[in-house]
Amino acid sequence: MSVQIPPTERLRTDTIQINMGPHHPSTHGVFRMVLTLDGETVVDLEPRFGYLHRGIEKTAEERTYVQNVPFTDRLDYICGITNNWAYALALEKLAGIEVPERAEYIRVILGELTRVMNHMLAIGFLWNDLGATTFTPVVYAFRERERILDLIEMAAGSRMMPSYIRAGGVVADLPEEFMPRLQKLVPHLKRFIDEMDTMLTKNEIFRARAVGVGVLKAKDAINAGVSGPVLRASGVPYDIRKVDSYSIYDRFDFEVPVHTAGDVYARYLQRLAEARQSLRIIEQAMRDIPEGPVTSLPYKQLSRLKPPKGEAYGRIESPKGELGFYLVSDGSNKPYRFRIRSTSLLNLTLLREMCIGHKVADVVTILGSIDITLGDVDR
Amino acid sequence: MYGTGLLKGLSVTLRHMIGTFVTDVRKFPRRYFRDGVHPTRSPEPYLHGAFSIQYPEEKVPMWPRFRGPLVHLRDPETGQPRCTACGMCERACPHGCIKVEGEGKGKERKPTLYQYNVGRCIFCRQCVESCPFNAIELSRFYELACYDKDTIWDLPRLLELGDKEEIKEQGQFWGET
Repeated sequence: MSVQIPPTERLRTDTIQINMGPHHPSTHGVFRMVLTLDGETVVDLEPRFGYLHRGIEKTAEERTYVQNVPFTDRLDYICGITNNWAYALALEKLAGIEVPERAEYIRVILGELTRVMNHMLAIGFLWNDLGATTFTPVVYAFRERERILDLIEMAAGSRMMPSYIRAGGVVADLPEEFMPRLQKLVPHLKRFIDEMDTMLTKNEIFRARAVGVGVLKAKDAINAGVSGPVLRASGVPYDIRKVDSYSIYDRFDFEVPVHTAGDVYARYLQRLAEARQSLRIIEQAMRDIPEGPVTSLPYKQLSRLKPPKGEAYGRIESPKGELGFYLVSDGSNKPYRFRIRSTSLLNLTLLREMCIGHKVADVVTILGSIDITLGDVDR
Repeated sequence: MYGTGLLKGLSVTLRHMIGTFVTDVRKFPRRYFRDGVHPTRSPEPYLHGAFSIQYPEEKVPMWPRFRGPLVHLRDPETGQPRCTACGMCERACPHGCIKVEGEGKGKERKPTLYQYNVGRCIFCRQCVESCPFNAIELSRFYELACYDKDTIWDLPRLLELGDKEEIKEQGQFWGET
């Protein structure tokens, strides 16, 4: 007589906890995820960060306003220009500084170039996360990024840590050979974006991996304070350049692209569409840029700047979303409080909700599609 | 048809691969020894062949504004350093990598000690902008890897590097501001 085993509907297994990171190539830095897995399906996910914490907010309270500019480069080290810009905007609000016309145009041109660069790189890294055999897009993206960084280096003296935008304008006027090179680069970048579109968008393997993966609903995204391309890919047309227009963005003709699906594929399409709009803005800015002074506050005045008592919040639409600096002044030459509203940290908060129910391999894809920089998450 | 998107994507990479070799063949004699222009430094943003740059032999020329380590400038008449040890650069540095001591008063004041810690420097150029005596500038030197902890540079070394760089005036590539 053999023992009868009652048939079970489903084989029951224990869940297992594993650490993904901090040294995992797909986390784009030092970031750890504690995954609870049932087989290959993610049951729970807990993001753990802080490995790259450098205490920039506290350090900045002990330095003068102008000495803090190089620190802002090191937050989101992919796009230094927009970080400088957000800090300059907050300080201009706090101290009531005017910005010359030409400086505003230079800021827009370099800021939008940074956006193109960041979005192309994000797409490249997303493909890198999908698997090693699709390494081509990231190499192509890096090649074009180098051309943009070259222009930034020509103007600012440093590729990734420009410290170029300061309160009151920019550090120095653009060199003479900048504009001819930019005029040649913009059509080239347009062709490059089209090329990326042809190469990647209709790829069946990519669609199989990306469509319907990591869906973020608009309601959840708004509740969590998510911003930037991740929010707009969920169907919310929220762009600070339009809703709270800063600098001279109200003069340019551009659209805010929106995708409604909210999955990895929609975020990819969103970044392509935004890069195209950025090039449109650059073309208009190149046409209209006036001559004139580039700063209203030379270094020697800026280093002695003592803003009146008060507080100010300056925010811009950085390539990754809303980047804000909150400054409190007590009347001295150092900020009393230096708070950074960082984009990547808030975009990362919904990682758990996006990942639950998907496979382990999809976690990597979803993290890549949010496009975080760990320097920005941990500060 | 399933798979057409994939093939269409691969056609782009194939075009790039062929294009690379076409550029190389077109520039055949200059393939290894190009005329000193790095692909990214040439004004044309196109492909420039499979061979990029033969690094230790060829070097990428830096832009005039490139921010490398600090150098001291000499007074063109006397050959002495222009620095008067006023200490403005020391105060302006966000990281405290400059240490200055001097003696004498007024125009006679000269530095007795000038230490520049290149290992800590973040090349932000605020020391140069704060200098009222036109005495320092950032160089275009970039090969900073070293085998020992020789990262604190003193005044003679900074002057020597300044001679090598041939920088005449502070901020000569940075316009008026």
